Amino acid sequence: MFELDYFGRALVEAALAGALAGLVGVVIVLRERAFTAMSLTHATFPGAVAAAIIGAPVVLGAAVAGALLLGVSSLIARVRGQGGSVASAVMLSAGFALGALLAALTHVPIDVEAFLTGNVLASDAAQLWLTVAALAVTILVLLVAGPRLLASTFDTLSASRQGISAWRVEAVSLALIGLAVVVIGPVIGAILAIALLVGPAAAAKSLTRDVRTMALVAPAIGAACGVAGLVASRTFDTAAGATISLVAGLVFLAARGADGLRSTVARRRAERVLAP
Amino acid sequence: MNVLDALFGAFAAPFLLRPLLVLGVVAVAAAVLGTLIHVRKLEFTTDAITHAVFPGLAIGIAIGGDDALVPGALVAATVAAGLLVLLSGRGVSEDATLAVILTSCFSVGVIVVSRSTAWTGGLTQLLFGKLLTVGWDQVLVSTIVIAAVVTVAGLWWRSFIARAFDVRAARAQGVPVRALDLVLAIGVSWVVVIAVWSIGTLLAVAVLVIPAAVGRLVRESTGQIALVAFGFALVASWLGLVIANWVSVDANLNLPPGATVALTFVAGYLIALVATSAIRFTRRSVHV
Repeated sequence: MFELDYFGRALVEAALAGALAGLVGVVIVLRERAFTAMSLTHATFPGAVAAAIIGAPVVLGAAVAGALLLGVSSLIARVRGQGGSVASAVMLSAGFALGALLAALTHVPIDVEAFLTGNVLASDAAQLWLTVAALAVTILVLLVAGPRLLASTFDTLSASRQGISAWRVEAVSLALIGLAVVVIGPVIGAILAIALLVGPAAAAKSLTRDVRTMALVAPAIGAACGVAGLVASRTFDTAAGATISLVAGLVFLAARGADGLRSTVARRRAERVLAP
Repeated sequence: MNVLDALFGAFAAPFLLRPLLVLGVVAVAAAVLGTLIHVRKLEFTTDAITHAVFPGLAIGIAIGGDDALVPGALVAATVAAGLLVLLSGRGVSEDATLAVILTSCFSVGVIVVSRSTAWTGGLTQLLFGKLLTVGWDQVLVSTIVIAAVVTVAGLWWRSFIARAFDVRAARAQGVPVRALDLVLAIGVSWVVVIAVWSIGTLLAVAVLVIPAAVGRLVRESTGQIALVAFGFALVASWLGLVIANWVSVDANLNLPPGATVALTFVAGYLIALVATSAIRFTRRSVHV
C-alpha cells in the first residue's frame, strides 16, 4: 500500500495527520481545551528526547512523559487559587526546560529542532500505519462515546444526573487529545502541532453550528491543510511543518472572516427590515 | 567558605553578573505584571505572546542583524497584543483563537529562519536563550523598557485590579475597560520581549507566570502576592544561575543556563506547592 517515494509518503502522512488532528480538534474546540492540548504538546518534548537518548521509540517516550506531566498538572489544578491555566503554564515550561537539559546532557547527537518543528518528509511506513491506527481508534471512540461526550460537554450537571461521569468523559477526551498529539508530533513538531489540531476544527465551527457536520468538515479541512501546506512548502522551499501550520492558521482566519461578514450582513438586513 | 563562594563569589565574573542583573529587572516585571497576569488569568495569552514575538525577532535579525532584534520584536509584540485584544471575545472561544494565531505567528518565524542566511545563532539558541552572552547594553535596554511598563502598571494599578475582579462594576465606575485591556496586553508583550531576549522564547513563560503563582499560594492580597513573587523570582534566578555555573565549572557538564534557571523556577514552585498543601492539611486535621 505504501510503495511510494518519500514525498508521496509525506503527502499521505500529511493528509492522515491533518484528518486526525481535525477530528480530535472538534473535541478540543467544543470542550475549550486548547491550552491543555498546547501544554500537552510541550510536555511530550522531554519524553521524546529521553526516548531518543536511550534508543526507544520516540512516540512511546512522548506518551509516557505526556501522561506523567498531565497527572502532575491535574493535581495542581485542584489546589485553591491555582487552577488549570497555572497548571498548564507550569507544565509547558517544565516540559521545554527538561527537554533542553536532557538534550544538552547526552552525547548522543539529537536534532532538537526536528522535535520542535517536525519532520514530515522523514515519515516512514511505521509512522503511516501508526497514524492510520490512531485515526481508526479515534473514529471508533467518537462513534461509541460521542453522544455521551457531547452531553457532558454541553450540560455537565444533567449529564451526570443521567449517569454520565464528568470525570470519565474528561479522561476519555484527554486520552484522545494525547493520542493525537503524540502521533502527529513527529510530523509537524511539538510547537506547531497545535495549529493543525485547533485551526481546522475552529474553522469548521465558524462554518457550521451542527456538531455532526463539524466532525465531518473538520477532518476534511485538516487533511486539505496538510496536503496544501506540504505542496506549498516544496514550491516555496520553506520548512514543511511550519508551512502546514501556517496554512491551517490562514484557513481559520478566512473562516472567521467569512463568519464575521455573514453575521454583519445578516444584522444589516435585520436592521433594514426593522427600520420604518 | 566554599559554599559561600559558590553562592556569591561567582558573580564577580561579569558574564554571570550581567544575566543576574537582567533577571533581577525581569523579576520586578514578574512581580507587577505577573500578578496582573495571574488575577486576569492571562497565562495562556502570555504564552501566546511569547510565540507571537518570535517572527518579530526573526525578521528583525534577518533585516538588520542583531541590532534590529529588539525593535523588530517590540513592533511585533505591539501588533500581536493589539490583534489579541481585537479578536478576543468574539464567537469561537478565546482559547482556540489564541492557539491558532500564536502558532501561525510562530510558523512565520520558523519559515523566516529557514529561509534566512543572516542567521548565525540558529533556531535553538533563540528558543532557549543565550543567557551568558548578555551585554551591558542589554542590561540597560531591559531596565528602561521594564521601568516604563512597570510605571504604567503602577499608575493605573487600582483600575487594573478593579477590572480584573469585577468587569461590570469597573465599567460602571467609568473605568475604560477596553483601553485597559489593550494597555495590559501591550505591557505584557513588551515584558515578554525582554524575557525572551535573555531566557529564550520557550522559557519566558516560566519566569513571568510562576512567581505570581507562588505568591498566590501563600498570600491573598494582590500587593502581597506581588511582593512574594518579586522575592521568589530574585531567589530563583540567583539560585538557577549559581547552579548553572556550578554544574558547568565543577561537574563539567554543559547545561544551557536558560533551561537551568527555568527548571529552578519550576522546582521552587513545586516545593512551595507541596509545603503549603502540607501545612493546610495539618492545620485542618488539628482543628478537627
